[in-house]
Amino acid sequence: MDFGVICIDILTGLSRGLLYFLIASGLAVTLGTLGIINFAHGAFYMCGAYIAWTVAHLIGNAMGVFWMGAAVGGATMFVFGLLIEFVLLRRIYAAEHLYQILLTFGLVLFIDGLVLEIWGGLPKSIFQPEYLTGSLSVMGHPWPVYSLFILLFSAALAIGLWFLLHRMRFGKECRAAAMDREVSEALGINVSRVFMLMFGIGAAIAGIAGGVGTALDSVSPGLGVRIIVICFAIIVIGGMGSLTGALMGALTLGMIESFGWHYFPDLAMLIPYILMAVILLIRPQGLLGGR
Amino acid sequence: MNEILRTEGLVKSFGNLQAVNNVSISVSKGEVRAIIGPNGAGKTTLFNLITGKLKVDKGKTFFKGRDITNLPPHQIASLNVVRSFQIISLFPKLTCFENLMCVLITRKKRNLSIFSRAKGHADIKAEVFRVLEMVGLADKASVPAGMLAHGDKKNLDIAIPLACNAELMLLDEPTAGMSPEETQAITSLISRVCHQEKVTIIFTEHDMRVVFAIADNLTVLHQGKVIADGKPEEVRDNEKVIEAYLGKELYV
Amino acid sequence: MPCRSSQINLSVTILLAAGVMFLFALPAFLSRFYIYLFSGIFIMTLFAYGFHLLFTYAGYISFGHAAFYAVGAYTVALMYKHVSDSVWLAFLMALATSAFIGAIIGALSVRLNKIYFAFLTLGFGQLVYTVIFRWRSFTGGDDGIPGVMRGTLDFGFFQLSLKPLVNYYYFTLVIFLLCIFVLWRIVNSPFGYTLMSIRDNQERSSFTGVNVLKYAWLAFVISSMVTGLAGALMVSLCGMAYPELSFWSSSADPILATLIGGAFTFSGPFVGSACYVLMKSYLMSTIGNWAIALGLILLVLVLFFRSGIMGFFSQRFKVML
Repeated sequence: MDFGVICIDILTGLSRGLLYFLIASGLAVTLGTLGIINFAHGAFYMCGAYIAWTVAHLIGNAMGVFWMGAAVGGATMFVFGLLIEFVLLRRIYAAEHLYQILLTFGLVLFIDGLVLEIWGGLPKSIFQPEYLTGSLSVMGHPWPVYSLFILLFSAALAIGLWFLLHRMRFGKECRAAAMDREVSEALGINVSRVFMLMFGIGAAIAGIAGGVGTALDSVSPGLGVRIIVICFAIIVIGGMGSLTGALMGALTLGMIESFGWHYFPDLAMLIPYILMAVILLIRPQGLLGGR
Repeated sequence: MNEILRTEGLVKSFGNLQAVNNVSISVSKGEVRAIIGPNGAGKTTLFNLITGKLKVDKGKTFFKGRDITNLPPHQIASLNVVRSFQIISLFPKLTCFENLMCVLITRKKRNLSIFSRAKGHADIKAEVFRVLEMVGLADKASVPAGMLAHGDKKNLDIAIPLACNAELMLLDEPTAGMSPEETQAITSLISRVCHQEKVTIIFTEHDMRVVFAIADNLTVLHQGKVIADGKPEEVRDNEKVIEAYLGKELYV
Repeated sequence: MPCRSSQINLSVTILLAAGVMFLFALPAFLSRFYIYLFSGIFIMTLFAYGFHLLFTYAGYISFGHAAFYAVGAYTVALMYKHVSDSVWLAFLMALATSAFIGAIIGALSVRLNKIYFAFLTLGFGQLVYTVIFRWRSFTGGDDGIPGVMRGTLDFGFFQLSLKPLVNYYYFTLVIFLLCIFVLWRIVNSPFGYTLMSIRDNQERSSFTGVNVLKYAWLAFVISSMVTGLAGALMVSLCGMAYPELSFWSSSADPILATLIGGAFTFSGPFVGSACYVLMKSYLMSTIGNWAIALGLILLVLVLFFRSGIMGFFSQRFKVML
């Protein structure tokens, strides 16, 4: 048993899992504060990826273009998220969940079509800055520097998110607004603004993750749906409602996929679904879910 | 055996809060039992434990000698134990008639009938109108339940367990939010149902007039524990009960 | 308040009868293109009714119903390719496989609340797509299964070739009408009302003695069978089975059709499907990228026109349509 190979798989799983967590956290946060399940979250990720690609394509191989791409992707999605919340979602908070789901589904259709229109249907080539290419040697085996980068970057952003939600005033306002809208407004919290910003932040995270995580999946239309299904698998596996649950689910999925892609590449595509089905059969509330 | 419901040492906690603490009660067939206590005493939680909405931490519930602890709600309901809720809970898009029709379809176990016309079942139709008459909603039969006035909604809410023809009915605060006239009407309805249809009724209440008007026995809960159990007159003079209640509500 | 007076009853019945006769008479004065299109409308309507049964009567949104559409299509294609020419057998198998897969997916999906259910069905739809896509040896993968025939209806003493488009049109029409009739009976039956009680108030329904999971599952299985039938009809019409049938955007078709026509009426899916098929056909030939348009339409519908076309008429004339 080559311990080194296992180590690589574990590290890859960690890296993958943390990126998944980063993506899913935006969804979990939007769900927790606004109570809306945003089907279009995966589409936001996809947009971030395409925008980053465009930036790289336009500017060419200059210094820092990778970071610029991700940053522009994130910023654009932030604004996009604000707009969507303001123009569309706001009208639907009072409606049945049914319609919220249908609305965000309509968004997915629209965004997918938009992406197809602007960028065409062919997959885009992935761009990695030079200092992130190449590999490290871990226990005598090669491990991509890029994966290490993803691991550290995702962890850093996740910590930043936690900090925002639990230590900063804005985060506390969010959580208050999520718990009780009326009381929060009575306390002087501008709930509308909080909701709008929160949705924007969720979209921005997805956008940045899209810009950065291009090694995960090919950039093509339909990426959005692949991502949202994974996000959802994570929420089912980890248990809905908490960021910790999303973390648990993301790491679990990441790990199992890492080993899966190594040993069963043909079936690995099915892993999220199989895992979901298994969890639903034996522990429907998720690994960390209550009752 | 004359006992229709018995609980033995029911316990339920939510984190550090012990909502129901070792509650054992015994209710006889045909009895009208009121469960009273200050807010937060555990009355609704007790109902939820008995009817399967919540799982017990400890203890057992027996219905007609059969252990029904932790059975899923629909199974307990099909054993003829039916409840109503504190908050009105109807089928809003269906008419009053259809609300009760659904209940009766389930009662008569015809849910799997796919090809017959639901509204063509004459026996169900007759039964629905009988119950609608009982609660005074016969003229509103074609009104969607969601569009009724609050009082009518409450009447329909009570009509649902009535239509079930249950042997045991658990009514959670049946007169909550009602005017004195409506309260009077519901009270006499409950009394009639019990004596005519021979239904055992357990209800929770805050309105002591209702309690003293129709209850055969009282059980008093305080902080999840049973602190008194017996005839209304006995309980009324019980010191512990007076203490728990701050006295006012008992002196009507 | 919707109500039914016998006068309205009579007019609706007459209209319906006239409508049916009209549909039977159509091929006499339509071009081949439109006969094809109308066949497509009947098929889309069945697809929509599969979704509609679950949505309007049980209260569950399924974003993955295209999976059954694909299953029905592939079953028929594979039956013709490997087993026999018999139309009856192929269609029977299509119903059986859709029911089987519906039973499995349904059993897993209804255990969760309705929001999770929506996501889960999306996931399963994609799963079926992935499996079809990758299982090249069986399903032909990306290439699909071309050259699916229409077959010959064997009544024993008399055979009817379904190859001529007009014959296939009538075949589709008859199956379509039969299905609608069956669905109409189902939604007005005690079973249908049980579903509606689950839709309106799951908890209360459960507390009156209804095993919610069981009935939601049953509704799901019936719904998957109807959808599978639609797929079976479709594959012989267009002659080809392909993986995209199960793609999530294909699942959007019945949703849009139902919403356009009026989700909370019985006739909604038919009217909606007619509009949708015609509209999509027009959009595809003019704009090309109809996904944007469709997305926008859905957004507008959800925000402003939730009751759809027949819903509007229902409220206007106070009749259950």
